[in-house]
Amino acid sequence: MTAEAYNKPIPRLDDPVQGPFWAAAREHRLTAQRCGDCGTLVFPGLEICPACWERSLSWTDVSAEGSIWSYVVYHRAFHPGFAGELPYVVAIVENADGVRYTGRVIGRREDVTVGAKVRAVFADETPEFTLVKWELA
Amino acid sequence: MSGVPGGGPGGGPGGPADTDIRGKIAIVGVGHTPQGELPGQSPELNSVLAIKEALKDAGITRDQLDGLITCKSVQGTNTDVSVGPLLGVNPRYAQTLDYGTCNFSLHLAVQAILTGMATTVALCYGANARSIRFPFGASAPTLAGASGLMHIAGPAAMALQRHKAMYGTTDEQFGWIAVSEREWARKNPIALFREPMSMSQYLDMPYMVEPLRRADVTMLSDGGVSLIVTSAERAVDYPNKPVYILGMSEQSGIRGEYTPDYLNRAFLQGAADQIWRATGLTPADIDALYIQNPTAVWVLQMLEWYGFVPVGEAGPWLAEGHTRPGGDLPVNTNGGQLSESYMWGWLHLVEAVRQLRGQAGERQISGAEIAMYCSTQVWLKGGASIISTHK
Repeated sequence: MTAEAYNKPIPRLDDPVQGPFWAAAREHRLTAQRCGDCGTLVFPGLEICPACWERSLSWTDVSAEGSIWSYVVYHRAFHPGFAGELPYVVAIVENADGVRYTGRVIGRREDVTVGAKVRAVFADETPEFTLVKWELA
Repeated sequence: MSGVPGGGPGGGPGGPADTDIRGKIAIVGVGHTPQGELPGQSPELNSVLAIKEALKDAGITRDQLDGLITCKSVQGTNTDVSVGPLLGVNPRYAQTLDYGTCNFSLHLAVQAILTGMATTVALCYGANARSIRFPFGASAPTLAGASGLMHIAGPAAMALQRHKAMYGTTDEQFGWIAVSEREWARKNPIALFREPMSMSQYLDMPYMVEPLRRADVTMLSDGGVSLIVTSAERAVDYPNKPVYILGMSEQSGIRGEYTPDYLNRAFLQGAADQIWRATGLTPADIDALYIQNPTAVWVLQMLEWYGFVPVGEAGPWLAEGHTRPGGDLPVNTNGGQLSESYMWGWLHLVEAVRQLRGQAGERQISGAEIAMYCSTQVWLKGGASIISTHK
């Protein structure tokens, strides 16, 4: 698929703070920031550790296993790019390291529940952009 | 780090340093424009038209104002300096709040008057989001936006789904928020949605962002709203019965998504503790309750965090009909933002004042003496005010 054909929102892949997350996703790795001083995990990325205020955050691989904290099912598209995908499921997933990610859930709708086990998968949407999604485990 | 506030060196928030503001400030005027579509009218014009109405209600002229607090419109306009040219006067004190919900606006006015910065303040909100087709559902360029989580209905539905899973809340129990507001709106001539809506009609509606239906979510509206606030000493000279502020509180959750379980908005407990402690009142003292509600989820959460029902138990309680006309805790008697109009909660406080003055017509609650208004800036801030015709 070409970038021109992809008509859904694309994050700023070169964002100075979040960019490394998207670069890692391109390599099919799930990441979060870890504080080199106190070990706190942070996502989305920040410029300073909010726990200890040291500027020691760096991106690190984290567990691709998680469970659904909650989820919703879109029956209406608020962006034309999603119209062909209705109904679609978006969840907040807590991974095994306790980091929360918002993402699309792939799998049978009937099996999506609060607490359901999921695993990160990586959808190469354009040559530059890979979206992290979650597949029912 | 927890999402619960820590204290400073002088003790926790709302500790012994509380200043008693009870009965020192009053609302003496309310006004608003028609609601719905007002094509060609800017947010600033709608603000000034509302101020004109509120001044008329208060029986004063704009020359008697020495304060203006505007609330930005949903699309970010309506600052004090953009309202100023249309206002035609330069009040001593002028400020703009990003997201006033009328509650934060009222709190700032109380602070300004108590500290001598102003004596008589107009608060205003103006929007034209409906007629300009403001893209309310637009998403941020984030992981969440790229995943299709957009519109306030998305995170609100996420919070409701979690509530359902944790506490067994059903669609029908939750649906009583929208159905009850519609029952009230049918008695309100300015409400935009007045056609009957029964529970079975509600349940027959398709989901929009499951588990939310269209009726659980507000619709954009154009309009302006204004309140006039002054000191209790001055308030007695105004034509209407003054409505005094008995207490007010705020609690931020400005860490946003970095606060664990932020969508549950547990930080509201801080605002609740503060206002009950400061006023010495309890939920049982409230005759009419107003909850700002871009979605019905806000009502569910605030009923619980402010202690009207224990956390997790709002569902069965709503189904008992307490909030409906004739119930023992009327909620959003204007029809709320689900059925009256989307004015960021501003019309809730107008309605509370009218109920306390005995000017609420067909929807008048007999003997209403104490009203409470609770609002939030999504999951970033919460506030409450308790008002009464008695000091």
